Amino acid sequence: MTRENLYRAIGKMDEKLISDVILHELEISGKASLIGNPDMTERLIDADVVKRKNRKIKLSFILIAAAAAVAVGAAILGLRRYKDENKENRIDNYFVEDDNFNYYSLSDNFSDFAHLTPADDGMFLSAFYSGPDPDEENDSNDTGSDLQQRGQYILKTDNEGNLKSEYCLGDSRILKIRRSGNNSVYVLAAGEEDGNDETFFVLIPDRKCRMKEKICLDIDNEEMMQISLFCDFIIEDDTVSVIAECSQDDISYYEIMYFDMDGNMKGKTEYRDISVFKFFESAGNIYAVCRNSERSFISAVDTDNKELVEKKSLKYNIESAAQFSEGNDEYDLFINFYDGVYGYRMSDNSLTECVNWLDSGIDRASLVSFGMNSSNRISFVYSENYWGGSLYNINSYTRADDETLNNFRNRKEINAAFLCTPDEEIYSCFNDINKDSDEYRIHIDDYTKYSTDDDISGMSRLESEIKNGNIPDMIFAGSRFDWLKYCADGTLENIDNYFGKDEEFERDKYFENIFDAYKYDGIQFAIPINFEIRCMTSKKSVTGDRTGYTCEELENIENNGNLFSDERYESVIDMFVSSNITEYVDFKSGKCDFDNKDFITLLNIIKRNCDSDDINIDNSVLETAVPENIKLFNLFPVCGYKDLRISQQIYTGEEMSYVGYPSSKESLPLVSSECCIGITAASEYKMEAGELIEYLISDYIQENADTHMSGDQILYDGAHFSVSRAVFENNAFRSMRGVPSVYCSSSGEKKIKLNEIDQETVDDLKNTVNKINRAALYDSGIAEIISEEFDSFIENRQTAEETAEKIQNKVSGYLKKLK
Amino acid sequence: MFADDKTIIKHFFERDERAVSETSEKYGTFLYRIAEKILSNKEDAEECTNETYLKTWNAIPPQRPKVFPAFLGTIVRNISFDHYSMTRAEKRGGGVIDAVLDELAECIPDTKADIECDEDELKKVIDSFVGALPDRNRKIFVMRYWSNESVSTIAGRLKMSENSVSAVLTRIRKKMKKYLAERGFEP
Repeated sequence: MTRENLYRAIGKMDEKLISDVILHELEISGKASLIGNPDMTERLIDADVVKRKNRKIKLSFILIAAAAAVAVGAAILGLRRYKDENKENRIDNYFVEDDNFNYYSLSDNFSDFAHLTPADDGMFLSAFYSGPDPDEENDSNDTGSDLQQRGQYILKTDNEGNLKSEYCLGDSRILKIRRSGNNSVYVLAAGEEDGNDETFFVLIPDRKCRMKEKICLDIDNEEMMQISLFCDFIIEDDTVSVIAECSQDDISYYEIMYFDMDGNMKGKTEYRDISVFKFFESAGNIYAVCRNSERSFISAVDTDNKELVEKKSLKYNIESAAQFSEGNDEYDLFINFYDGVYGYRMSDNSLTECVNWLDSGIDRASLVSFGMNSSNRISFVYSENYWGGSLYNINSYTRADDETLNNFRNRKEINAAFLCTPDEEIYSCFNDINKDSDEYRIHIDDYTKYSTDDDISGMSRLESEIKNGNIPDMIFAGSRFDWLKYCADGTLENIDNYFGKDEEFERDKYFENIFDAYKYDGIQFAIPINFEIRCMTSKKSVTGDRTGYTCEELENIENNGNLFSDERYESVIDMFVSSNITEYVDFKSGKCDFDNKDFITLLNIIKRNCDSDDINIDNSVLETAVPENIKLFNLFPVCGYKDLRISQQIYTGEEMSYVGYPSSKESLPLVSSECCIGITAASEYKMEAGELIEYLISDYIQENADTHMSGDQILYDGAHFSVSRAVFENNAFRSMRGVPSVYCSSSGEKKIKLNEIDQETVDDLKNTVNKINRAALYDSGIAEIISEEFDSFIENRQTAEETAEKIQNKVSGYLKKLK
Repeated sequence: MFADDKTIIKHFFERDERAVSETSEKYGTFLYRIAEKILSNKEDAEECTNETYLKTWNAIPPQRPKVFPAFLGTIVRNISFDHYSMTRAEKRGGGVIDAVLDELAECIPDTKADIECDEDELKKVIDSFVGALPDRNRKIFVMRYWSNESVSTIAGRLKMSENSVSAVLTRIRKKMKKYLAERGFEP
């Protein structure tokens, strides 16, 4: 291919892709205005590649929304109140690209930017300079500096990104940059001195980045061996405090080390039960952001007694924060959660949204570090090649002006509660909508920031919001969400009323049976945007064409606990029962069916064939258990084609079969999805939400959402299968063509080339997928009951019969209460 | 007042010569500008514009354009580029088209591939790549590589800085190179 080929091919691009640009060109040339030509305007609207942008409001759904408003009066009023109170502040956090930011001033000379730290009049950051270009005469560069030496640099820039000063650290590694009170920085770095072991040191440059002081930290070799990561450091008075994440005998823990200003260690404290993430200063005191297994909190750092003293409890899970950044005059600390940057203030223990990533069109997943220079400017380092992970750039955004904000305020706001982390492609699609649409904006509330160890998605928080009438328009959640409960109580709308109504939408282009698996009592309560297969996998030579076993049949083929390849009790009861709840519970009638012979048999099978949580499972055993006929079944789901290749080649060793979980009948495999979308009955924008779902499952999005490749190698395809038949087929074709992919053995020692799959394997998969008729669904209340009683059974405090009876009674009571 | 596109196309179907004059009146300047940006030569651009009317006459019927100016633009762009290719040995240098082609050269993958490349296939891949770009980036791409606009013109029309436009174009080219490589296109 030549550049001319490419140019010609661009010339043949689909008219739809170029027509709006041409219209614009014609308009501004004044030669042939097409405005007012309804035929052309209509075509151009149709031609817009970003169809969502031009979705027209149809009278029908305005009427439906009005009717719904009457029907659910109180809830809608609650929803409106919620929106009105919060909308203004949120919209103020809309940032736009700073056109004055001189991107090239830095990127022409430097690469691998990191550790961006705000300063009053610009920012500090680290970068790599590869040395003068030997092909060019050294006429310095347009920054006015005189770069000569290759290596790591500390850079100081003004607000426009113009380089003001730099300091070279040669081959040293810059670990952290921390702003000091006088608008200068401290730098924690590591390097080798005199060929000896690595030395860690703190540099104190002046505000022009000239070296003022260097403190070599006295960390002995043994200590050094245990440090995996320096999380943060801070200098106060005469003490350098450093947070390090350490590891010993495969157990991770945190340490705070205290040094004097000569680098001598004054002492250290180990923290085995809490994680310590970041230091910050407030009113002259030093604090640390911490988390234990239950909650996040702020502790004062007592450098004299070398201890942390808890001061404030945080309502957010700080562990879900991607990065932290230094505070400014307004806030003590900035925290980057998935949906935006939040400013934390110690005085009133408040956390306030300062930048909304989605509104601002910033792909936060690629962020490496950020700094709020002031309340009106954010600069950040981002990775452009996320999967390659090597290209780091910087950019700066400013708060949108009033005119832009007013325009934004007038848009209709669709609120989406996120209880899962969807693929970046979907997030970036929302970014595009918010950038391009004149009519709508999507606001995401990321509930994972309210997560706890027992509630990984933040579902309890959403539940209390719903109880208070703060009902989002859409819910994005995975399989561990109480879909059925919210379907039964009317919180979720029947998506069928709002989905697939567009005449262009062809439902049969999708796996309709997968959609149908998310129907309950005729109500389409959610649409999965992708899926995985939950089943037991085995050798086809062992199971033949069977697609399921009853509990009794499974017991008959069991031989001395040889059924499942090294699984734990808790995960198997969860898989077979708690996440397979429609097998046992009928939410509509409020009846359940646990107290029976099959369930009792199942409990005994699990007890005989699984291990307790305390036993360390050697993953390499999993690779041989089924291939060497030590066990009959693997229990991991099959997610995507790469996963299929691994399951078949590595974990099965020959042609693989998919078998449903054991129950009273021969059940088929289940479908599960890590991202399903529901529309709430209280939403004012059901039609728009339906169109958005259509868009998210379109080939256009799905093609990019699930497989990440680099060159001719699949890097990542472990996510899911596509619900679109066409994309599903395309990915199958790619796996059959033998696009290379590699499996790293659990020991990390072996890299095994994955073979291409054959047509028969694809046919088997399709056959399995086409037969699926139920989803793996879950209810947190029932799961808790089952887990509690099952534990008693495993600990021999009750028999299987007693366990089944107790679960039956408790779940019946729970269902009665729900009704 | 210009004739509307439906009428012009109707005249082409009826083999009514008014079709050509109506097209020329309505879109002549627009077509000339496209040609001129490729050829940087007044006479050549006029020649290619006239040839466009002839090609359109021969193409409609049987074809029925959905977006008439886009249809015309595609023809004039292709004719002009053919003309450019034939004469560039003696005329190369300085025009936007040279910069555009140099930039496109950056998108050509350097990996080995196992899919045979043909122009139809390449067109499909480009359609899917450009179709997946965010709206603003798509417009920037089309303005630069379809319409051959200068970076400053694009910046002015989209109310962006030239630096930002250049940065967006650089990113798109990198993505496109990766995209083409993944789909088996080789140099």
